[in-house]
Amino acid sequence: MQKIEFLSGDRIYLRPMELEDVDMFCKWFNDPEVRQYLSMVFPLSKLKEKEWVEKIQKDRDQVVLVIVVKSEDNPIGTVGLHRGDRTSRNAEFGIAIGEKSYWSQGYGTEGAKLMIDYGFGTLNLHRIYLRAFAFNERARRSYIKIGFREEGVFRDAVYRDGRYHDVLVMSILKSEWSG
Amino acid sequence: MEIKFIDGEQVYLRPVEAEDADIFCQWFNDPEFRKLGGGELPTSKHEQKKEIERMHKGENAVWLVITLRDTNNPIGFVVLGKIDRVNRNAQFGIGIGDKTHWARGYGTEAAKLVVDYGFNTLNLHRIWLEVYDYNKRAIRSYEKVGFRAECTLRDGEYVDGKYHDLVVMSILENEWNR
Repeated sequence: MQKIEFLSGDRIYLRPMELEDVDMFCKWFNDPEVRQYLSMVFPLSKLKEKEWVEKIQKDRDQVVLVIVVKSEDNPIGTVGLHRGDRTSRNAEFGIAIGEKSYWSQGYGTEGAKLMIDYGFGTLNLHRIYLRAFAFNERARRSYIKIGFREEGVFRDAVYRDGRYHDVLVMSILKSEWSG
Repeated sequence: MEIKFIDGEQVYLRPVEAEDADIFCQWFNDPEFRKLGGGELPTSKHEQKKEIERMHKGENAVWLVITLRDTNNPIGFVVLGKIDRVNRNAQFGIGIGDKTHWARGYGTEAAKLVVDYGFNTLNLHRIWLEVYDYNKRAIRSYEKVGFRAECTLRDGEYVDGKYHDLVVMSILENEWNR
C-alpha cells in the first residue's frame, strides 16, 4: 500500500486514522501505563473505538492523525486538535504516544509541532490550549519546549489512584507561534 | 401553585418548564445579556423548546429557574452542567435575564443555594465556572460565594471585535463545608 502522508516532518509523518487502526488504538489506550496520563477511565472496546473513529471523521471541528515513524513506517501514537469554540477560533490539543518504547525520544514534540503549525497555518486558529495532569512532569517540559505557556491549574479536577490531582492548563497563541 | 425545589430568603429555585421557552428567548437574545453570558448566535423559541426538552433528558446537568419569593416572577436561571460523576465536579453557570433585578444580590443568593445543593446533595468535590475578565460584578459575586480564581484562559473568547481573557474560578467541598 502506498504511504499516505498528510503532514510530513523530519523523523515522523502524520496520516489519517483508518478503521484498521482500531485494534492498535485499543492496545494502546487500555494499557494502564499509557492511560494514566489520559482522561479515559473506562475500558475501551474495539466496538466503541470504531464508533469514536467514525464520529471524529465526520466532525469538521476535530482532526486526529496517527503519528508514524518514517524510518520504520511504524505507527506509535495519535495527535489531535479537538472541538473548541469556532467563533473564538480556539481548539484543544491532545497527544498520546501509545508505543511505550518510543517515549522520551522527541517524537511527540515533533508531532505536536506539526499539528500546531497546521492549526495556526491551515485551520486559522487563534489559540490552542491543552490540559495535562499536574503529575505528568515530562509532558509539561515537552509542552514548554514547544512554546506553550502555563495559564493556571484546575484545582483537584481529576481523581486518579485514590486521590484528587490538579490539572495544568497551557496555551499558545498564533502571535507566539513561529513555526 | 408554587413549586419550590430549593428555597432561600429572597429567591427560590424551581424546575424549568416548557412554558419558560419564551422568557429564556427574551433573555438569551438580549445584547447586554449576551455580552456577559456569551451566546453569539440567535435563540429561537422553537429551538429553545427543544433545548428545554434536552435539559430534562440529560442526567449531566441540573437547570433551575431563579424566582423572586415576593412576586413569583422568574428573573434568571442557574445551572450545574457537565456533571462528571467520576471526578465529582460540575460547571456552574448563572444568568439574571431581567436587568431591572441586576446588582441586588439575587444572583449571589441563588449561587449559594445551588452550590450548597451541588456539594451536599449531589456529593460533588469541585464546582467551577468561567467568566469574562471584564465582568467585574460577576467576579465579585462569585468571590462572595467563595469561588477562587485559579486560571486565566488567555484570549479565550472573542466578543465585540476583540479577544478577551476568560477567568476560571472554583470552589472545593472542604472550602464550602467549613
